[in-house]
Amino acid sequence: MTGSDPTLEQTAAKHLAFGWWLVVASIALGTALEALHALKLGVYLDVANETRRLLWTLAHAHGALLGLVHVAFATSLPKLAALSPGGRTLASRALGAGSLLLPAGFFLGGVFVYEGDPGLGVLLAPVGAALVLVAVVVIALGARRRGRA
Amino acid sequence: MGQISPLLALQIGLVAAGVAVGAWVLGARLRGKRRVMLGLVLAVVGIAAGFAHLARQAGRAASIEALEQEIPGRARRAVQVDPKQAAWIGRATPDVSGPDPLAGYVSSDRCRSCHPGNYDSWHRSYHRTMTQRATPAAVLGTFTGQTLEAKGRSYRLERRGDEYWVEMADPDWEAELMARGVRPDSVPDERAPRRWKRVVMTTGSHHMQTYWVASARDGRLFNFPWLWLVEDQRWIPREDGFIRPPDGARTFDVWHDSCIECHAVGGEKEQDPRTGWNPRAAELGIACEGCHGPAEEHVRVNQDPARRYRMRLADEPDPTIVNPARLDARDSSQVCGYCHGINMWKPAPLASGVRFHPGDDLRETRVVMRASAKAAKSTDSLERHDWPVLMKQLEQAMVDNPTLLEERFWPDGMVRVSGREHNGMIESACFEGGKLSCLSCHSMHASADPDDQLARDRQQDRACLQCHPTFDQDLEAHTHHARESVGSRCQNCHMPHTVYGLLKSIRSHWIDSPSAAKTRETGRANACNLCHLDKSLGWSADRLTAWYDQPRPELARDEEEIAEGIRWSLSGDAQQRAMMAWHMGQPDPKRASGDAWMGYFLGHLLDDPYPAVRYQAGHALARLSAEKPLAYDFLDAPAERARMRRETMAYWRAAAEDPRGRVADRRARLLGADGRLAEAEIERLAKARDDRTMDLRE
Repeated sequence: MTGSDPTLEQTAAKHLAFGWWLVVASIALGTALEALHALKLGVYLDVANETRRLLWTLAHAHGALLGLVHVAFATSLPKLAALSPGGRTLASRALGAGSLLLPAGFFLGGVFVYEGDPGLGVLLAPVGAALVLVAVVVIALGARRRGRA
Repeated sequence: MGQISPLLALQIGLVAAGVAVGAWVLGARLRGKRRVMLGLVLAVVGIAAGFAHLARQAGRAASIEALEQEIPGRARRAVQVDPKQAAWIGRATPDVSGPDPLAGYVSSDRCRSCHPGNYDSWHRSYHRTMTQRATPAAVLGTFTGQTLEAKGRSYRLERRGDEYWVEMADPDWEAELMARGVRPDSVPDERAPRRWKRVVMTTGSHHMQTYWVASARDGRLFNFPWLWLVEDQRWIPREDGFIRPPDGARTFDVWHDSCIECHAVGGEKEQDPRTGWNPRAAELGIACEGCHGPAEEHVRVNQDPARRYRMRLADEPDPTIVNPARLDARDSSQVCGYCHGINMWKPAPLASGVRFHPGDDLRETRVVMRASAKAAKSTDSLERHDWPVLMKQLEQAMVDNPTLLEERFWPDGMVRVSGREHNGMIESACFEGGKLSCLSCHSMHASADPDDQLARDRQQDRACLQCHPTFDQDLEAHTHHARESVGSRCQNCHMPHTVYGLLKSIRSHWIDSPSAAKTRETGRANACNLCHLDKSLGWSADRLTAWYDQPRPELARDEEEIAEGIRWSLSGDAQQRAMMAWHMGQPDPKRASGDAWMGYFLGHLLDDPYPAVRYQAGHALARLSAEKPLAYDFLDAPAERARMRRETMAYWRAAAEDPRGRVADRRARLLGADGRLAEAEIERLAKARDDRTMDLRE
């Protein structure tokens, strides 16, 4: 880290905490899903509920992965030399919102299902995905070489 | 602790070996070359195992592909045509100019992604497994190198890997004999050319299963004429699984003759003069599109997610697909009735290629056969229009087969054979009221049990109480039986087991009330006497008169006095005897009537001329006593059967007699004043047996 930037440090700390808590929540969800498997509950395992199973699995996987993305963002933030303060704010907010909306969309989409189609909650998922995409594009651009910053 | 299976031991061994190797590689601090060598060895072993697996898979795929060539598929059969013959006919290729009737079908695989629950419930049904490719997952019978023999023909059965083979008289040669009017079994087996034929397809999976082999000349499938009985786990000659004339010929069935219409989706019996028969089907078994109609358009428009959500949230019928649950009672029932009914094609639509699809009025393309008195008085315009057509067709058909109606209906027009529930139901007052449909009681996707597919929320009386709730308030006043007893269950009195098929008695779907007068008129036992087998028809008539003000019919002396279970089993026709024997094996009639006395009369049936009657008697006797195991086979030689009959009757005689005077109505049980069996009476009734030839068309 070159010099101290309180805003940058605050952002990094926020994402580090958020990321780990998202991993905690996702692993808790994963554990619950394993319990549903162990107890052979039809509400999750029946073929009629395979859409729910897929969506909740996606919620668990995306949550865990995005939590780690937050951790990676937090630790790499000081090295993102080309990332302007405005870009940092945009990336931070988009990543934060996207990381909530994407797994939440999958989860809610699985709560109420229409046979092979998810419930309307799944509409949050594409919004979340778009926000995550924006965030990672901004972060990737910020990761360019210093000299070009 | 249970035994560990070899497969489980192998898996445990493999996992343990994998862990050991991993640990050794990590911990051994091998030098570079050794580590590389070990890696190479493991890689080579892995690759060799992979190749072995692939080779096995490829062999299986080739076997399945060969099988697919033999069974009806969607495509027209490509056959090399003799150029001379083609020139003579004037066409070089089959005429495919018309629209392909199978074009709109997509198969159940496409339905699964949007309707996984319904796909799953269908997948667990016996509808799906009605017709299957003969793979190890489908074949229930044993093919262990054994030889089956019946009616002068022998069949050798063998399993080769995942394939099932039969050595038998060449079915193409037999078909040629049939075409020339020669009964194949009139030619001795030694003179028949024999062939090894691969079993390519199966029919049935619930009660019995039969098998099909392919013609070497065209697309016909010939029946391997044996049945595998699922419950009994044994083979029997096909004709012995039905009530057929005992001295009749061996059956010779071709799949596309009739099976194709109902045991496959969109079955088409195509025939080209040069390529022969080419039966085709959109899908084997009764699959999604069998009840919902061709789904190509439905699949296409619903690739649009916005439309899907609009339809789902609106809860309105999708016009691109038929949902029988949303049709009115008549149309919904006709979806089932197309197959679960006796119908005849109307000549005009058949000639123009118009086929029935779910949602159509079945009567546009078919005449629903009815034999009841009220059918002739129908006020429905279509039925009135069709009545002369039906009469004409029947008249023509009965020239060849005078017992055509008798083979299917009781004298009052009630269906007597299984699988024809629609014809029964449409005669019911409940159906005429416009409310009753098959789905009033059954559900294809929400049933408690694939057997019968009764809707989960309409079990027992609940199906009837939907429309008749008042009976529940004072049930015992109506039924005159204890509330929880089987005598108080609606269907036991209004839908008794008076239909026969699949080697059992089945509930009638003409919902009516027990009547002694009808029993007298039709020879069909009523619900009272099917449970109270030890009571006479007069006994039932007294109660029906006292309880329901039914006019008491004038009865013959035997009807007044002798238990119906005994009278029908001694004097009835083949169906009546089989039905009595079946009922004697059921827990409810045994509880209501006591069962020890039945052994003697069941023994009497062990040498019946009809195999189906002997089968029922043997099964009922086997359940009668654990102390007296029955070493009896209903297919035994006549002399052995006669011996078993004598022995069994002698064994059960004491149980049938009543020297201590405990039986209230001795006359009903054919007991003399001394409590001994009245031999002369038994002899008289046995001599009066109705021996007319029965040939029930299940």
